[in-house]
Amino acid sequence: MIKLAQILALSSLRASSSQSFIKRLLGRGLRLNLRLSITLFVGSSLATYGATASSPPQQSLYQLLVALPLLLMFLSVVYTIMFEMNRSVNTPSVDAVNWLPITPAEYVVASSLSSAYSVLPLLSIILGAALGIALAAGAAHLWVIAALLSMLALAAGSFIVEIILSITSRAARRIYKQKGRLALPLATLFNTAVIFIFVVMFNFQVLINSLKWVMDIVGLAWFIPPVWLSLAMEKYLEADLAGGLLFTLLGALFVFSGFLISTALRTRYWAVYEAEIRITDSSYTPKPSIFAKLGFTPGESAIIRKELKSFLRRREMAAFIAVPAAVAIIPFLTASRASLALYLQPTVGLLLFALLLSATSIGREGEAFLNLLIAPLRPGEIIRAKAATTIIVASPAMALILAATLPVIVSSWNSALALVVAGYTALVETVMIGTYFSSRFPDFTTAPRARFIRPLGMFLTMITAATALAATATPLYIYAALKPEWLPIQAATLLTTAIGAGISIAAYRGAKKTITRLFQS
Amino acid sequence: MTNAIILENVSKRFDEVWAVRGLSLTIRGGSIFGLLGPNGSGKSTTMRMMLGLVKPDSGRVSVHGIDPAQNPVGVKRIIGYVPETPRLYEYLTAAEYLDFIREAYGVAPSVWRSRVAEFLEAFGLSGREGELLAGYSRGMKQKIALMAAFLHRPRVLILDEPLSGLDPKSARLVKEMLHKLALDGTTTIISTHVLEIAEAICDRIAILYEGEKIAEGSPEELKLLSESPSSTLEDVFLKLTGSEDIRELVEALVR
Repeated sequence: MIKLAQILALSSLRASSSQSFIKRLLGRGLRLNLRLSITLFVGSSLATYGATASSPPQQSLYQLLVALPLLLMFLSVVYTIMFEMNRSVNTPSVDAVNWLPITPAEYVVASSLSSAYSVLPLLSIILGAALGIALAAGAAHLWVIAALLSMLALAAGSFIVEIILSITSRAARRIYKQKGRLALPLATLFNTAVIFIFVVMFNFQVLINSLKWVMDIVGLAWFIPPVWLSLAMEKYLEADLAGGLLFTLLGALFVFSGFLISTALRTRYWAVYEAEIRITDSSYTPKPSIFAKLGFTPGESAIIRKELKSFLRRREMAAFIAVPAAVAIIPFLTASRASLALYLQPTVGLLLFALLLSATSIGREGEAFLNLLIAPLRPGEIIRAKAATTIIVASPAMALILAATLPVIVSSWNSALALVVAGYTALVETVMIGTYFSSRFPDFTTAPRARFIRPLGMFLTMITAATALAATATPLYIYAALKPEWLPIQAATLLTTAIGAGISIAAYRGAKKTITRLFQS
Repeated sequence: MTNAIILENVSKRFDEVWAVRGLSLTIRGGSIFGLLGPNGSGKSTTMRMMLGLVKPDSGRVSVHGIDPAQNPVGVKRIIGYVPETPRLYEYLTAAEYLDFIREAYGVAPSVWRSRVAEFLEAFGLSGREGELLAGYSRGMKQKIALMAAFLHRPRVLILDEPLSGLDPKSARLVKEMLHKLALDGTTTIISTHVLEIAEAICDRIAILYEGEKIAEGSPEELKLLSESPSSTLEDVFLKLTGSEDIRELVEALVR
């Protein structure tokens, strides 16, 4: 069991979508993970101790200790679900549990241990930080209780994930077979929502607000099992030993129930594998493409149609939608007052979405990129089609955002026109920059996990796009900030458009060149 | 029949390794030509040079008069290619993938529909074209890859292990189709490790070893290279590639 947990944990670390230096380091071995976690634990506790020793925040500490079990349970669930969601469809090794001599109970325990192991560094930081504050407040004994309850909560979270995975796997296979066309986009949207929640939760302000909310509901939600361990901690803090023991026992029963149910479901449904997914029952009827009528070549039209069809069918798209959505929405959750910058956030989120989509456009082909190499397609056609797809997807969203925010932030038609023109110029520019780096740094690996663009490429994409957009927006910014007589708004708008167009054309030409080299390599 | 494909003293190097060295081939139009050789012998590189995916370092390649390095798009229009492992768009249905191929090759919808229906019926995939390719088995994906290569009526077919994963009926279908297409003037280049297949369907075979051609001829001509009159193509192949000592290896492995 321990050995299986080790294998699953290593697999999880190495299959992570963000192959940062830390993740690659941890993937080398589990002892390194342990040592790093211990170091992080000690480091974070020293840091928070040092920061709070002079004036320990007693109230905040109690809120944190109460919230810890529920928080860690939630973290365990979301993190593991996110990993499972992003698991590549090209990893057949997950089926090994079907034919190895492993009992369902052994697998469930091993899988849960491996989930805990994968989040160990993050847990170490959180628990270490809490310990530091507890030591400063002379409440280390309370921390010990919270840590023990948190370990139980972690186990509960792992078992909850196993239950969710078994049920959704079973349900998914049935739904995909019967209603694949609807089920796939819904699955992507579900994944998007999970990632969105994860990203939002890790915003510091949102986290603090959440902790306060948890404190408020813990007592009221005593009948909800996941809350029992936090409620136990609250009772201990109130010196209600009997109540604390009662809820600890209930929490332990909850964990044990989770284990039994997840084992039973695993026995019944076994491991996840891809089911046949039926999109349509009607017979195949090829039709002329609308994009061909809009002036695209047959090759470009073929690629655009392919991209649009698969847009919401891919699990990986969830992150590209969720992260920009979080960028757009978090300020609204945490802002104390309205401002111009606040209403520009949705546009920023949309541009980030367009950038992510275009920067991964070539790499998303994966091994199937061969189809583009062997078909009679010119490199320029591929670049135009990829860029056009992103623009087609993002344009309606840009129109909606502008329609919603312009009435709030501008007071004249000239200003409105300027922002509309600037918005679409920025969109095209962002897409072309992303497409260039996508062709320059594609990553076609699909197993154990798809990445689409090399980390250096993503970094350069972000830096270049930010710099280019700043340059493009400069004339309008000068007009808005200084309102100089020598720069009327119409001239500022024209200048912005010219700069944006120039950058877009340069990026397009660069992309054509680099993809031609890719064809020849 | 004129010569469809000509390779004149073609060489290709990757870093320090010669993938192909001084290879010359003349492939008659309307024939089925086999490329045999152990792993790393240069078969795939040779095919990729015909397709224009790889530029030779020296020598000349001509496919129906087109230089693939100079006009890769032009040569791809007349070639249907099936790689060793099908690389399909897993998030498309079979019908959507074939429609993508149709549009990429510029085939009119009216022409395509009946062809696809016939192929789906023949390969036993009728009624399953609305399912995502991600749920297809290995053999089913191979059938779709073959369909994608055949449907746009190419003048040249380049097939890497085309029968891999196919059920016996489909394998027989493909073999018969290749013979029929050859009679209609389609030139086919096949790479396979299954020598019985090569023997059964190829008009001529070239054996590659470490990037060089070590033998070429019809299956009967190649068999004459062996000392024994009852030798199979497999015996000839193993002799030429220095892989005869199988018995000792087997003894060692099962000890």
